[in-house]
Amino acid sequence: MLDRKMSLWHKILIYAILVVIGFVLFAPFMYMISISLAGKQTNMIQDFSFFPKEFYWQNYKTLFGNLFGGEYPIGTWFLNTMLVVVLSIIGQMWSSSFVAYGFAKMEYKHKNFFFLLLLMTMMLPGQITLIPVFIIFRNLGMYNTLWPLIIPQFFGSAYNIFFTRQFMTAIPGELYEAAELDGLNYFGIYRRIVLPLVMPALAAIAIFTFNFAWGDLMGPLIYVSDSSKFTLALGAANLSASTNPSGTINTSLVMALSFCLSIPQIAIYFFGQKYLFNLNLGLGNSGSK
Amino acid sequence: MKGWKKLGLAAMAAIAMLTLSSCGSGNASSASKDGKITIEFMHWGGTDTYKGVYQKRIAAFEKANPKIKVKVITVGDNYDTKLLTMVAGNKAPDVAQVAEDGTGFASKNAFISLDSYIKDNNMDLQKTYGNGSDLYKWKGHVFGIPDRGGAGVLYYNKDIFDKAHMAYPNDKWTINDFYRAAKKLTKRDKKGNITQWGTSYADYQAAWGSFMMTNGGSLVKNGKATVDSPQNLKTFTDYTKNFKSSSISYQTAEDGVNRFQQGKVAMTLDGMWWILGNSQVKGLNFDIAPMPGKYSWSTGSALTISRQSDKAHRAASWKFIKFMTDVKAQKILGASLGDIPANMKVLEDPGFIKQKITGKTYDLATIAKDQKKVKIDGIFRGPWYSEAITECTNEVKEMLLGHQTPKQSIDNLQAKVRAILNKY
Amino acid sequence: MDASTKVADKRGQSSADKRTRMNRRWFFFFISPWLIGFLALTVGPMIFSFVMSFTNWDMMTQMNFVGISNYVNLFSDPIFLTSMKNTFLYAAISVPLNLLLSLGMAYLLSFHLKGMRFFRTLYYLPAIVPVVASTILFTNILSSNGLLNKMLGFFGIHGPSWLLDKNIVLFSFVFLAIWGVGGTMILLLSAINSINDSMYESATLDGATRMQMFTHITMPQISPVIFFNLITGIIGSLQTFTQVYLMTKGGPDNASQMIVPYLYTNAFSYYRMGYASAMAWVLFAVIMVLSVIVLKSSSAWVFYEEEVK
Repeated sequence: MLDRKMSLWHKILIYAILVVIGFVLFAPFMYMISISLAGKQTNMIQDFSFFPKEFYWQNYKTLFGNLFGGEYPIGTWFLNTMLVVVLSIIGQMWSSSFVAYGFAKMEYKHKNFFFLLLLMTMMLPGQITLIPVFIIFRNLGMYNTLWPLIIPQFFGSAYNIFFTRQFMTAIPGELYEAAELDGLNYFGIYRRIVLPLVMPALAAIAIFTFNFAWGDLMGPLIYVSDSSKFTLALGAANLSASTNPSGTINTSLVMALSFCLSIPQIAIYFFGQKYLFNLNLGLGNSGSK
Repeated sequence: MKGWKKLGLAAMAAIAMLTLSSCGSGNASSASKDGKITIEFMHWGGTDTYKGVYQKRIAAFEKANPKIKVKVITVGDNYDTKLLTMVAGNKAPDVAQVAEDGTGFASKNAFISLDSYIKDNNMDLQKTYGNGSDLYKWKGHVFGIPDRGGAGVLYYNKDIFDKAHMAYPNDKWTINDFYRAAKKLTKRDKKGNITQWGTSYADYQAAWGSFMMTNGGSLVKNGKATVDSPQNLKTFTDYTKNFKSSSISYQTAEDGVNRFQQGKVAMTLDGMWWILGNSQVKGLNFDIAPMPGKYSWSTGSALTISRQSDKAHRAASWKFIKFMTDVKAQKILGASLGDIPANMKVLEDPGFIKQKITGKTYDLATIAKDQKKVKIDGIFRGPWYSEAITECTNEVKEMLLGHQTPKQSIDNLQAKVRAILNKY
Repeated sequence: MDASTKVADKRGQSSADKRTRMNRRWFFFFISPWLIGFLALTVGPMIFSFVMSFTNWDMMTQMNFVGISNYVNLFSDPIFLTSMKNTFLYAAISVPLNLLLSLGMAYLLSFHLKGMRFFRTLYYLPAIVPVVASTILFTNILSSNGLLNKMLGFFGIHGPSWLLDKNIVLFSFVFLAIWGVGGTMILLLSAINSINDSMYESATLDGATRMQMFTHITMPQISPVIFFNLITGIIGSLQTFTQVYLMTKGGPDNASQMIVPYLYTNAFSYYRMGYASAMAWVLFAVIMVLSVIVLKSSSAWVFYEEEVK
């Protein structure tokens, strides 16, 4: 947007609006931190202040006190989550680049038919296949394991494949031809030429996948029942619903866990934002530069 | 490119480690070797429940029956879903704990009938476990033996009663006695804000369900919805009126603070599992009395045997159930007070009644009295329980929130329950 | 045509044939991961789910065909109808509101002023908080004596009990959606920033006002992104689950019950796999119809530049 002729009053007005919105959006964070640091007495009467008044770090110590045992083994939950997240990312990066290459550069009469099928699955709500897929994994003996959350990621998702294909079509054709003349077969081209070139797109996919796998509740809720198999998101959800022996929910503990749940995602954003912004976040922008 | 490769290698190493650590174990089958047999037993709750309720009893059982090993599965949440998937996947545990939801599974043929075992052992369920045992029957066949007992109970704060010079609640109390005391014990400051509540009860069925049965009402009878009776209208009307005048409102209760434990509530109607927790609260001088009125709502659970177990496992499972629900093991349960024993002989045993809980004695004779008052509403007697009781809670809550009159609630609920029963 | 060209032509044809076949093989080799997943985890389950929606299967006893009665019952099930209404209402409020607010915020952030990076990050932060965490947080914020009512009390307003009142409980979910407005905003912002400055420059020379530039240059240029967000917003909000499951469980008295949580309850608490499958198909139909409507309308207001190859 051009704004060379902006007056001082204009600028002040804009800053004022920006600050007000910023405050409204930041207030819940403040409250989360404040609750997570509230002491036992405050929890007993559940009357939390907006700004942190107490700094009761004991909540965090309690939370991390027993990493692999007790009522909330968050160390175990973290490892479970990481297993799902890492394998999901690898699965998605591999499958989207692999399949996208097929759609982008291979010639086949009925290619468009298959591409249309792919696009149509983007419209399909997951709930249609939820129960049958659940039954398939249960019959494979995978109920109460993390595999049902991981395996589907290796088959790719329509959105990611589409996104990567768009990226690939922008790669100049001469690169492929040169590689072909060098005697590489298509798999060689995929591995040596295409994969390195689409890495920025795959990095964005890795971030999308991380966000999904890290925060997903429905999946773990359906497939996992033992506390030792929980992911962090499910663990937090469970903790938020359970009461301590005195019957009161320990809100501070739940908030501390929620806060910890948010940190990695925020960190990933900071490290990964250059990929996200370079790519204009993909799909919607394919029309404009 | 090297960076990516390194990252990939690191990721691979991480996965290999994680795979070994958390995805390894599958479902070990309970094969019998050298005459030994392993049965699977599943219950809900956390490790605290396991330790408080089952651990010692199972140890005693294994000591008495060296040839049987019990593999315990503790399920923290979504118990019904877990049991469902195990039954559906042909991997049902040999022995499963069930409560009100048991009929649902029994109607799907998940459990065997225990009739022949009961006959062979000359057991009188009614006499040994009271009316609560009625809950675990489907089409006339018994599918579960009561293990953990309990009914709704009245907790009261002795200090508050003493201060007001009022007599403690007793087993002769009627519902009106309860309402009257609650009103008297509610105190307000000058602004009209309540500083001390007479009672705290809400949409929990153990409270309003007991009152409803005492007034001669019911929710379901012989598989038909019977909500819209004049008795129920009276129950709901009084319940709402007293909720408004002397109970903790939802708006206040939303913060989840346990105000009874803070000494700000004179009486509360709830399950018996609070005794141990309440006894550990410093400065709380409380005791228990039977639910006011003639009848009490059941809150216990039972043990069942899976239809998928083979002959040997069924026999071993029965031995296990018999042991767990018999006097010896039930005494162990009663002594720890992890939960309430279902066996009446134990509840009436002086050893149980006179025991000290966190250094104090309580009127534990109440429990046996209350257990005898248990009446099973028709809502329990079908697979519709979970769905129907959810709607009951919804309607009662709307009524107590003041969004609809008792009459409207009754009519809505009648229609809802009838529709739900029609689905089954 | 002489013989030699014929031979050469034939050879050329056969090598082209071979090439096509090779290419076809490679095509299937590369798309095989998706194709296998598509057949095993999408088409197969879809057929199964469709068949199941005509049965009363509970996963434990035998499957019996019940004709279309699941579908008939759905439309006489008051809770299902309520959850449909709630889901639509939630989508109808939250999606446009979200778009409007994010458009306004993106516009503000597109000015080249100092500190915009800071504000951009600040506005985007809530969108990357996992839904589980933000929902738990908002359960506390929206309770009777929670943060929101305390803030309102600061201005002398006595706030309602957001999560207890049938008439306003849906707004709790709207608040939650609005807090995460940064997700859409960042997409719109990057679209606005990628508009070529020369367009504005020539408009300025023509004497266009700021408002005119916004409606005649900015809006058309970013309309594909708005369209994309509208579609994903509708589809996403119709499938709301986590927020309801954690914040209200559908209460009070089903006033915040939505389609997917109700489907979940029926399948996994009441063992009605057939009924839940029928519900999923109705949801699918609804999503299809709405998508087609939006898609059809898009030709009127979405502006596409020539496709960049």
